[in-house]
Amino acid sequence: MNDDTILEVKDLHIKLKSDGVEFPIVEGVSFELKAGKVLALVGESGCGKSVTSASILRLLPRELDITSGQIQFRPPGSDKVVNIVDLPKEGKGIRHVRGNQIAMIFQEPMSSFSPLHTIGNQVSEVVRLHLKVSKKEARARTVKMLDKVGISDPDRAFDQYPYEFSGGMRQRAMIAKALSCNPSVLIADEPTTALDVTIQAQVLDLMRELRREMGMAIVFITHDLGVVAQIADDVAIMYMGRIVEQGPVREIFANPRHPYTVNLLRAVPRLGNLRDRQKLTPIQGSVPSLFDRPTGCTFHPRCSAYIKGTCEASVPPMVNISEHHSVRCFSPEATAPVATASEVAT
Amino acid sequence: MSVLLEISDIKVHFPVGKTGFFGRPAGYVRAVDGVSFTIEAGETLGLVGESGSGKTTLGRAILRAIEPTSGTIRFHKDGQDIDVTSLNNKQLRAMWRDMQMIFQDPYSSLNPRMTVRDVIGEPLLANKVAKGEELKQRVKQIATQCGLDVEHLSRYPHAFSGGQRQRIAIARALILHPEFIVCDEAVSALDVSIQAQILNLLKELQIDLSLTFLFIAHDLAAVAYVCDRVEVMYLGTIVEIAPTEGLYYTPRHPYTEALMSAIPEADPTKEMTPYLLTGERPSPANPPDGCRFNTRCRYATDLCRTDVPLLTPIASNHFVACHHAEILSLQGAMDHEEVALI
Amino acid sequence: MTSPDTTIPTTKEQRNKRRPEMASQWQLMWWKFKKHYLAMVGVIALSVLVFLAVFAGIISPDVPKARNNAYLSGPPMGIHFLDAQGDFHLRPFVYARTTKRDPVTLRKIAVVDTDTHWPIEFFVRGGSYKFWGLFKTDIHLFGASGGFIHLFGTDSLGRDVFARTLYATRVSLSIGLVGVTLAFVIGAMMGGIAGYFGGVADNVIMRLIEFIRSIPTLPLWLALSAALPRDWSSFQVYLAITLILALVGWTHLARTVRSKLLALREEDFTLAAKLSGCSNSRIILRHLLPSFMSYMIVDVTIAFPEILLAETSLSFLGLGLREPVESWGVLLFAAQNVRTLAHTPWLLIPGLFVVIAVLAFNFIGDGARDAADPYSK
Repeated sequence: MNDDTILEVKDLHIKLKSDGVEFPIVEGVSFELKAGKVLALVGESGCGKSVTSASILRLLPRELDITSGQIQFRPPGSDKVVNIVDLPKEGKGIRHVRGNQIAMIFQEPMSSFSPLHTIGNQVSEVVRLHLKVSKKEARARTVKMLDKVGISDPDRAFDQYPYEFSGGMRQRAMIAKALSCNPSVLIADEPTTALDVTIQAQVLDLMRELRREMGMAIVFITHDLGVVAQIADDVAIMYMGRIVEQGPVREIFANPRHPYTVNLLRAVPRLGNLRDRQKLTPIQGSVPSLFDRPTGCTFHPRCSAYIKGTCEASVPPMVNISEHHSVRCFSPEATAPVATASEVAT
Repeated sequence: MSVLLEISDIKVHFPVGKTGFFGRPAGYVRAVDGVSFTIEAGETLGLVGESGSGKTTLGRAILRAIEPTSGTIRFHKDGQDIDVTSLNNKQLRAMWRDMQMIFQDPYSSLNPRMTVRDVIGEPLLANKVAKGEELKQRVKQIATQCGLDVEHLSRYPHAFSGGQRQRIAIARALILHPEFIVCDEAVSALDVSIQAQILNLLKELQIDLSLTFLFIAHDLAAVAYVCDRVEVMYLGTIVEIAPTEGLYYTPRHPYTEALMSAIPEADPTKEMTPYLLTGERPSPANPPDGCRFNTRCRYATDLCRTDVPLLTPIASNHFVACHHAEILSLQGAMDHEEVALI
Repeated sequence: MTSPDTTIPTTKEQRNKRRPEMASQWQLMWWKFKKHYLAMVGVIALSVLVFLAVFAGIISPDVPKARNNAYLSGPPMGIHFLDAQGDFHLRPFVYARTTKRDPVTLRKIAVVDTDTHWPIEFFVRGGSYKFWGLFKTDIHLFGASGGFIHLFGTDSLGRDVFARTLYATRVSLSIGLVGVTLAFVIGAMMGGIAGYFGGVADNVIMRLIEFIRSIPTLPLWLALSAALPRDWSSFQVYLAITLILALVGWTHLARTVRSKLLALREEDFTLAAKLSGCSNSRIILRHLLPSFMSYMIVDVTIAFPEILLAETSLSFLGLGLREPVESWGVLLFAAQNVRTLAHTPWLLIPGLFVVIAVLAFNFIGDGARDAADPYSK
């Protein structure tokens, strides 16, 4: 583990057990999260991005099991590295990590709060649980946190119930809850997907600001490439349980090499060129069911650069294109096919 | 181009807080509150707005899938001028052969207990247009046109992925060759790569079958891609209507400006600078006086807090409901060609 | 493009065998139901009961009204393969019974005579009955040649409890079936009206249901059945009792139908059906009915034992069916006092059938509930 790496996932495998048969959900995912950086895990539904992120806090449902791999976490200011996979699933070890050192926020802020308790009650619970402070102090801290995430009149908001909050405010409250113990890593699982675009902008803005202020590292799970471009430093593109391409966000957007990344970028409508509405080039077919996993490179049945006899025969290895940019493909695209604004300008 | 639909002063109010057995409602949610616009034959009109702005309700009210509280809808078909709002149930059913809808959630919009052939063929049966072998042929034809495998028509919807399900829903909507289709968030439940497939399919079908779309969505980029004109809704009213380019690049309403600035562009070299709205959206049961956006608008004056601005033309085809539209200079979405010119 | 074979061939095989993509809701439900062990036990138990009821005439060794004066209040007779000497007989037999007078009470009592065997024979002739009311026959599945056979013993009039129980099974199950069907029709209609149209109709029907449910059921049945004229024939009483049970039993079904309809009415596919040009009745019958049919089946399997028990209790109290009709309740009516229970406990055997039937239905209901929505994960 490098010095500035705070979380490292190494060759993670997760399987689904159903009727006595095992199906691979995540196959050999590896990534590093540097302190204070935002890593985006991007992919379509069923690619394993949410499962990967949930496994970091050992929050997998019963049917899912980590079968091999490591999740190494180094709490800041400590030289000791914890392998989260080795911790018992329910126990003091993982509970100490959860919420305290690694926090998580979810897509649906409504279901993340109990309707029976006040917002303040639920946010301050984390503080009291992990920091062992008095009730009064916890309240003061929580009110400060609510204020920080931009909830107006936080003292009043403390005693309100979740139904009195709008979606955007609930998401802010959840962020407050997640951040109240100063975690060093925040896992955000599609935190803006359920929000309107103006509220999404507010929440993204808030997360950027908090990250700057508190120096947190964020694992940001999303399928929205626009959000990725705006918030991430590094990107890992996932398809059917594997990372197919990863690297710095500008590099990936300007110079995508995996056919899936290339096609994904081409499939997104852009605002920049409304005048010459070029047709979108969608990816053919749809994501296969996880019970019908293709062999070799799982993308080969939909791939335009498919090489017969090669792609379905074996899983392509992760190859470094440049220092930080790696791709899992036998025939990575050579040129950057997605026109960006700067290119149009020249 | 000729006008296909004329919507004038449509209101949809839902009673809330009913008390007692025959109690009177305590108030009304004004989901749609006096909306007027026209839809041209053959165009795609986008309808954008945040959740709760009333766009879905408006879409359904135009089809009378929800009864509008007041207002009129006129449908011009083959020289006829039909007042949709005055039709009785039987006439309405006949009307729906020309006006259809595609839903957001391809899971709840298909009856899981019917085979795909039955789902797509149902309009033919219900309207007694075709049955037996003819029905099978027509289902096959439209299914092929929508990119479905005709071998799979005897399967049940649960065997299909989200994108394929949406194709089934589109085939069902199109089998009676309607003129007008309301696409209610038709691609928002789909994965990115599938969204593009469905957007392209809708565009192709529009040309092949000369369809007119009302495209309701919150995804502004998708709307920009398929729509000729776009209207923006806020708290039950329309604040701006304009051709797509005009609306996106030169918005004239402060709310449109806020929307445009909030779109995260899929380009990491351009950091977005959203004009962040402050405060909470007021409840549609109790909208503010004057301009409905005044509580969150950074340009609001006293006039905005008392007088309701009307939707008025400001440029050709560009309508806006703002007292200060003439003097404000607002920021739109990034225009690459203009960026290139600078 | 066809994808090459998957990494897990076992599932492919399962798939080819099952083809879930072609499966209708009933097939999906059946696959799910089959996994429910207790429910399958219930199905088997119930099938046996139904079989016995349907073929009661031929299975029972004699007609239920036949009196055997030689064997009054006789205990059940066991079937033997080994005789008292320990010799094996290929043809099963029962020991002969002879009648003696009790020297103290002077009552006739039956004594087992282990020296004489009455071998069991198949397809023997006995009392004549009408097979399914169609044609007269006197063939019985089995009988004891040279004597009689009473597997469950006899009552004080010498009637065969086995035959009476089988005939009672027929009556009781059919009352349940007719009652449930009636309740089903009324409940589906009332619930359908309330759920689909809503508003005032919904209000009125729901208040009516609440009213009916607030009346204590037992006194209500008692009052209703006490109002039946005494001189009605047993068939008329039978019809009246089913009607009474159905009139009280429909409320539960109506509620289920209503709540399901209210939920389904909001589904997009209902609006899609409306926009497809379907009339209200077509929407209900073609689009909504199949969706809540499965839930209604669950409710029916729960309502069935309720009606069964209601009939049994009414008849047991002497207010339901009466002799000469046989039903489980009527048979149990005979076992009301402690002396009968002490001397002739076999008269309680019909009660065992009630327990088995009710349990079977509850097990099936359990399994059906789990399988009712095959589309949920």
